[in-house]
Amino acid sequence: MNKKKKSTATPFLLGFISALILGWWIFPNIIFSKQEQPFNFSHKAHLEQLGDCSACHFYRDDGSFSGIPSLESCTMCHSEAITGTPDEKIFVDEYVKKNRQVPWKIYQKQPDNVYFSHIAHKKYECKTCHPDIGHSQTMPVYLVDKITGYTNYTMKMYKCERCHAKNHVSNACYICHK
Amino acid sequence: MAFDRRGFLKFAIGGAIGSLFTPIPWKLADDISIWTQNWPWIPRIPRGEMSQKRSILKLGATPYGIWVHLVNKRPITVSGDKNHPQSLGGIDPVGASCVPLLYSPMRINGPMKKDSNGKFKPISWNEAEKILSDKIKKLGNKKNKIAFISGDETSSANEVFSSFLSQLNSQLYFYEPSDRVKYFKGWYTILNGDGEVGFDLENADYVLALGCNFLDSWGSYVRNQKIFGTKGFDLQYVGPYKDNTSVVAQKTIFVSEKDLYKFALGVAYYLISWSPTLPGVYGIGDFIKALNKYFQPDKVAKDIGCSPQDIKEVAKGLLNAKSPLVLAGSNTPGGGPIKNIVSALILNILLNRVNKKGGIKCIPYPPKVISSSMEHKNILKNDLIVSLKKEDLKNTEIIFFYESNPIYSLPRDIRDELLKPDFKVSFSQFMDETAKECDLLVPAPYFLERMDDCFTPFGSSKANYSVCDKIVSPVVDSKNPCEFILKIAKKMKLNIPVNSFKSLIETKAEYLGETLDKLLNGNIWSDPTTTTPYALRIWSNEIKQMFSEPKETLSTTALELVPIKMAKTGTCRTGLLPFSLDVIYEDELPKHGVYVYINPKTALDFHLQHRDIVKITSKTGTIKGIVYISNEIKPRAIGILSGLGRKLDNEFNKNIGVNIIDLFETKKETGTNSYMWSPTLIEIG
Repeated sequence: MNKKKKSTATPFLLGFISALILGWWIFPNIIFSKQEQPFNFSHKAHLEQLGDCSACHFYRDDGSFSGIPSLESCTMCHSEAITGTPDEKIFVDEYVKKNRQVPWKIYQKQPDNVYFSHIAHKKYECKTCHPDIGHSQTMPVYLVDKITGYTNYTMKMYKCERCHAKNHVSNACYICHK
Repeated sequence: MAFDRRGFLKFAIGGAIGSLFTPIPWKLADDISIWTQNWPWIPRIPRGEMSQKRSILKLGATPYGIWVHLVNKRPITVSGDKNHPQSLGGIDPVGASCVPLLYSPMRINGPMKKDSNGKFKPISWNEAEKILSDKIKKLGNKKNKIAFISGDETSSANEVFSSFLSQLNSQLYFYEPSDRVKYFKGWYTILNGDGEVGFDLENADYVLALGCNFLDSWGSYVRNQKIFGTKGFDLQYVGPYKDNTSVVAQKTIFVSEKDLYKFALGVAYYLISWSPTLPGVYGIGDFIKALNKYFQPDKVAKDIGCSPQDIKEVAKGLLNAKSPLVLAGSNTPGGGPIKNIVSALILNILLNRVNKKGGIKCIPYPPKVISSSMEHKNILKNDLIVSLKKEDLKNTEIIFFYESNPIYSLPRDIRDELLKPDFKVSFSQFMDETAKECDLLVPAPYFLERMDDCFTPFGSSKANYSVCDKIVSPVVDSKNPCEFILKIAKKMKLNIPVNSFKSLIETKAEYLGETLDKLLNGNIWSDPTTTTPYALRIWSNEIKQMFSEPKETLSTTALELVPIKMAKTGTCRTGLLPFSLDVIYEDELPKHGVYVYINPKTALDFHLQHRDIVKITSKTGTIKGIVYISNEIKPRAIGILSGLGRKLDNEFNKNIGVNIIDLFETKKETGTNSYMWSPTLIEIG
C-alpha cells in the first residue's frame, strides 16, 4: 500500500518570500536607472550664503516661477571660480567658459498634461512637496523609471488630490489638466 | 521535501500571491498606463528658462504689439501687449498662429531665380544683387521703368524703397489697395480734409457700422474688440450679411453694399432736419437740396428695401448719443465703393464729430527722414488700380512686391496687368501666389527675425510709433529687403543717406523725441495732436455725380455677391492658419468646395434646396458651391467665405475652397477717380 505523501506548505512559502524579495529589493533596482548630475551642487552652502531658496528659485514679476537658475544667474557670482572646489571647477571650465547651460536633471518634472502653478502654492514651504535638500551637501540620487521616464520623486496625482481635498480646493479635472 | 510538479505549482502560487504584496503589479500597471500617454511621437513641451520679448505682428492684418514668450530663447507662443495701443492686450487668430508660421514649409529658404523652364533655382546673395543691378542698369534713366508695391504702409522701409525708386526716375510707388487708401481718397481728395482718418472708438458711446466688420477683420480689429469687450458701446449694424460684428449689435439692418451710402444719406436727412445747428462746411446748402430731392428717408427705404423706421431710429440714436461714431468699410480690402466711406464721413461731419472725443480724428502723416523718399501722403494718392487702368505701368519693366500678395487678393484683370512687366521681384517671407509668379525671390526675414517699426496703423485713434527688435536667429537664409536695396543703391552710387535700416529708425526715433533704446524697451511714442481741416466740403460736382449714379436695370436673375471675411481664415499673405482649422466650423467650410449662403426667400425664388450644388457665374469667372440656406444673409444676395482657394504648397491650404476674387469685376465708380469690385453681380444656376 502506497503511503500518502504528506502535504507541505514550504514551496508555497518559498515562492511567497521570493516574490517579496524580488518585489521589494530587486524590482526597484531593475525598474529605476541611476543617473548622475553633471556635478555636485551643495544646496546647504548656497542657502547659508544667500539665506533663502527664493534667492535662486524666484517668482518673476508676472508670477511665473523661474525654476532652475540659468547659467546667466549662476555666473553673476561664479563667472570665475571663487571657492576652488572641484565641482565649481567643472562648472566654470565646462559651462561658464563654454557658455553652455548646465543640463541639470530635474527631480520633480510634471507631465506635459499637468498645469502646475507654483505661485498658487506659495503659502506652503518648498519641502512640503520637494525633498528637503536645503541642508544637504550632496544632491539626492537621481533615479529614473525606465518605462515612464519620470523620477522616483515625481508627485503622483493622488497626492495632489489628497492635499486639495484636505484644503477644500476643487479636485475638478480642469484645475490641473487645462 | 521533493521539488516535484506539485511543489513547483505551490511555489508558483506562493510567488504569485506574494507578488501582490509587492509593488510589482501595481507599479507596472501604473507605469504602463503612463507610458501609453507618452508615445515618442507626441511633441514634448520644451523645458528651460522662460522669457518674453516685445514684438509687432505684421502678417497682412493691421499691425499690433505682442509679447513673444520664449523657452530657452525659442519662441513658444504669444500674447497681446496691454501697453500697445493697437493690441490693448488682445491677439487675433493670426497672432495665435504666428509662432508655427516661423517654421512654415511655405518659407522661402534663400534667394532664388526662375530658370528658363519656370523653375526656381537657389542662388547666392551676391548673384541676386548682380542680377537685379544689371537689370536696373540696363533701363538707363528712363522714366517710370520701375514700379513698387508695398503691402506694409506702416514701416519706414517705404522710405528706403521710394527713395530708391525716385533716384531711378520713377514715381510708381504704391500701397497695396486697401480701405486705408480709400479712406484717404474720400477724406483728402473728395471731402477736402486733412491728415488721415482715425477712429476714437475708446470714447465713442454709439457706433453705426456701415458694412464694416470692425470687430472681426476690418481696421484695428484687435484693439476694437478689446474696447468693445471692456468698455462697450451701443452698436447698430447695416450691411448685407450678419457677420461677427453684427452678432453683437443691438440691431442689424439688411442693406446691399451698393446701397449703404443711400441709407447713410437717409439718416443725414433726419440729422439735418432735427439738428438745431448745422456745421459750417462748404456745400451744405446744395447738400440739403440734394437730400430733399433724392434722399428722403421714405424714398430711400423703398429703394433699398429696408423699413423707413430703421433709418429714423438710427438717426435718433446718433443724435441722442453723446459721442456717436460712424464707420464704413468693405469685406474686400480696397474693393468696396468709396461713396459708402464718403457718406459715413459726411455723417460724422454733420454730427460735428471731427476731432472730437469719441469721433473721427485727423491724424498727422508720419515724418520723413530720407529727403528723397516719397511722402506717405503722396504714396496714398498714388492709386494702384487707377494707374493700371490709365496704363501708367505700360512701360514698366521691373516690378517689386514687398510684403504684398496682389496676385491672390486682386481681381483677375488687375492681376494680369501686374504680371506684364518683364522682370518681377518678390520680397516675401512665403512662397505665395505673387512670389510664384516672380523671376527673382529675395526672401525677407519673418517678423520675429528682424527689426521693424510701425507708424500709426489704420484704425488708430492717434499717431503712434513703435519699434521691435529681432527675437530669433533666422530660420532660413533671409535678408532685410531694406539692407538688400541699400547695398545695391550704394553699388550704383545712388544717394540714399542712411547706412542701414537701424540707423533710419534711430533717426526717426530722435526726430520724434525718443531714443531707439527706449522704443525697443517697449516705450510707445504717441501724439494726440490732430490736424485741422479748414475747408471741408460735403458737396461738389464730384460728390453730386457720385451720389447720383444712374439706377441700373438689373436682370431678375442677378444676385449680389457678398464676400464673408473672417480673421480666422488668415490674411492674403498667410493663407489658412495652422491653429484656425479647429475653429472653422462645419457650417462654414464643407469638406469639398464652399458653401453658398442664401436667404430662404431667394432659395424659394430660384427653386434651390439645402445642399444643392450650384454654379455661380460672373462676367469674370465661374465657381461651384453647395447651397446653405440661412437667414443670416439678405434676400437677393449670396454669401461665400473669402480667403480660400489658395495656391500655396502647404497642407493647411491645399484644395480648400475657392477664391471668390476670381468672380469680381473691376468697374469705375461714377464721379470718382476710383475703381471698385465689390459688390459684383452674379448669376446662379
